[in-house]
Amino acid sequence: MSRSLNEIGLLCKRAARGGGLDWGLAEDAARGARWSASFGLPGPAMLATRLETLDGRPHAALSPDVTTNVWHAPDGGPLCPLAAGAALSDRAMRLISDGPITLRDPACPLLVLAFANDAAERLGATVLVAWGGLRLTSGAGRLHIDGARERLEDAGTPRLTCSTVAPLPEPAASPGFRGEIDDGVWDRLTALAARTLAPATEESRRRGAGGG
Amino acid sequence: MSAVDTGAVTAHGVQAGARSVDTAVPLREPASVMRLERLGAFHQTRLSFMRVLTRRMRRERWRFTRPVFELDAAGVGHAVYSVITPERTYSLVAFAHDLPAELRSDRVIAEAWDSTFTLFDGVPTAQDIERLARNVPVQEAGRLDATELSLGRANRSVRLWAHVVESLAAGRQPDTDRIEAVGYLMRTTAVYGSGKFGAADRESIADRAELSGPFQIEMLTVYLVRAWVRDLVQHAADAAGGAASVPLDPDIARSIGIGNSTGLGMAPFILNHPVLFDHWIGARETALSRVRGVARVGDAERATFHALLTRSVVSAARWRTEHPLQGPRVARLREDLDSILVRIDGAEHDCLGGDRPWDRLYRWAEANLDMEGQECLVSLMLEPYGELVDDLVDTLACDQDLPAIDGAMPLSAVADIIDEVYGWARSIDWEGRPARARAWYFSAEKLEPRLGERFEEPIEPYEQPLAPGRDAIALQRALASWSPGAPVAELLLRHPEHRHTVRRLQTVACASYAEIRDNTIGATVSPADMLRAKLSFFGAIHFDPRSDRWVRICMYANAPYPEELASGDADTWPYPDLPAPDAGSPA
Repeated sequence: MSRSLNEIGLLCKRAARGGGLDWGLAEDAARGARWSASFGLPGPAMLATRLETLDGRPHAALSPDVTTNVWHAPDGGPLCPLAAGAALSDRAMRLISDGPITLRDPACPLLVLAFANDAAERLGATVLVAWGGLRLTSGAGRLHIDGARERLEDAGTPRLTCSTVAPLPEPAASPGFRGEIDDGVWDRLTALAARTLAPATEESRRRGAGGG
Repeated sequence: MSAVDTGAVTAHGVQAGARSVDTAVPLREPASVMRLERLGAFHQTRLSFMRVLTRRMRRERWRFTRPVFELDAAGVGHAVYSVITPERTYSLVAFAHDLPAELRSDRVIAEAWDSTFTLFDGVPTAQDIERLARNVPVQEAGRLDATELSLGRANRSVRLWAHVVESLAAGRQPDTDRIEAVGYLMRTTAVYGSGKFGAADRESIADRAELSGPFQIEMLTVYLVRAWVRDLVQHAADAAGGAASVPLDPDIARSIGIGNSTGLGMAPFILNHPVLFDHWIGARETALSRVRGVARVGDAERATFHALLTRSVVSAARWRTEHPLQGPRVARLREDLDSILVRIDGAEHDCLGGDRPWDRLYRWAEANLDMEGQECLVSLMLEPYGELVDDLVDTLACDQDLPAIDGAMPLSAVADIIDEVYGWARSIDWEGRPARARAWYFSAEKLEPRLGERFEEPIEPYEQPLAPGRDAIALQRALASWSPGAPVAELLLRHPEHRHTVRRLQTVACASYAEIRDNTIGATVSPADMLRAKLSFFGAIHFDPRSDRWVRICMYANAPYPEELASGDADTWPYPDLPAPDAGSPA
């Protein structure tokens, strides 16, 4: 179904919070899903998949080890694309000062793309995200997709690389104002978002919230 | 003239606020303006969104048509009201329903209404109307598309509706005292905009000049609804009275607005849109600063101010509220307006003579008037100076997207922002229960923001991030164990729980009026202050808090109807006309 981007952003934020993320990372996850949907990419679906895997586990333990330019999960397991993506966006300058950054074994790699785009915006540069024969290049508000599109919905990949490139390959797409989301994905996100809702109690009914 | 820079933080590469003022009188300090007590005393101004719209309608000579009006004898059916602007046409598609009395509720969670409506982008086809007839009447349970710009509903004021219908049907005009006591025939219980339920996102139409200002879609929707409701009540009277029915007197019709009940759902808006709120407040404060900087008052400006002050006295006399806090505040406002009049008129004062008289008047008000009186004076002072301040209308809107975090910002800069913006929060005992007595949350039952008692209800796990002061102080504590030179990215890698607050700090550092400088979760917080602040920017008057959690207002009372825009007062209509000199004398 066609959804407004505000609907997508709001539901994804609540879903991400319901999935156990702190509010700040939930905001970034939602920004990313919205951005992804505006290019017709399945960001919201991949977010639902990732959140269902997390299933409310504390996210602080998922922060990547960023000591070298090959980032990995501290426990050797799959790397969280949201935690790693946020770390990448926060360290945008490292793409210029230290060169390409490799993520080892990230889950749902598509979710890294929006964070890489944030890095591109921060740097005023063009950033390439590549894994498994798929190359996604973004910059100046546009996106170029090249290669194996079926990899967009990968649940994981051994290696993802992120680097600055120039210039943006053409033809590059501009974002739209709507997102097409499967009803099944919408229902999964809605179920996650429902975890943020406090069950009604007699006390809350009695106190009331005011009219309007 | 000297430039006054109001940037909140200038150290460590944090970009200073871009607001510069070309007047020698500085802007009021955010620490004073952004207190809830003051925000909760704001009044409409000439920058208010309803007035921005009606001025534009008149200036651009918008044309209005009613291509569809299909109602049965019971008043059930639909109508289309089209407005033709220089660039585009928009249409209100409105439905009238037969609502059993037991289903009539002001609560946003109701499931049936007297009228439902949407603003359509263009002129709807019969197929569009058929689709909307399946979706608009069920509101949240329906789906809109990118051609719809808003969604809303309204309920009758049962007593006034019946009185107006019965009076007109019997061939006489309704009683003006009864109309004044209520103020509206219908009140909206929700008008949803940007992207809700599938409607078009604001971003998709923000480049249209006529809709680029804040809430112009919602204001246009309500403006058209007011005409629809007037036509609807006439239809009901005509159906009931037949040949005996008379048309509603235009002067009486004009005095009728659209009521609105605003509850907690709207309160978090100004917390969740800090940069937008900064633009609203910044425009108002810049306007005030410019007027305070005026060297001398001309005769025309003096006359305008005097006339609108006198009309404000009438307006305050008509402001009715039974709220235990607002009632006395309105009484004090009446006294304060009288004091201003005495000061203006009194020969010994003539306070509008001499240099920079508005600045002197404002400073006198700060020392002598209640908060309501001070802020009402601010609104009045702007009135004579459209040419000086109306350009600020173009600064009211902004991009509302959340920004990405600047991970390179050193923690010392984060600490500076906390000192600058959240200094007020340091003296609060955040460990104590009173400071954290409440929590904002969404309930599963209502799907609406609510404010609960943290220590009495099991709501804390569901808390929304709407306590910036508490969170900033928590971040400040976390900073103590880090090197001031470390980038904030390092802290966030170990403490993702502060990510929301770091983004907020970086956002409000560049927008001096973005942050409310008060505890939003304390035992004594009154969300009605947040509602009042927002509604004042809409242009509402006669705020009537029904509790600390919801407010009733009236919109567009005394505004010209579409057919009156060219000849009527499209600007200062919020100020009621003075009673005619012979009012009350026998005819």
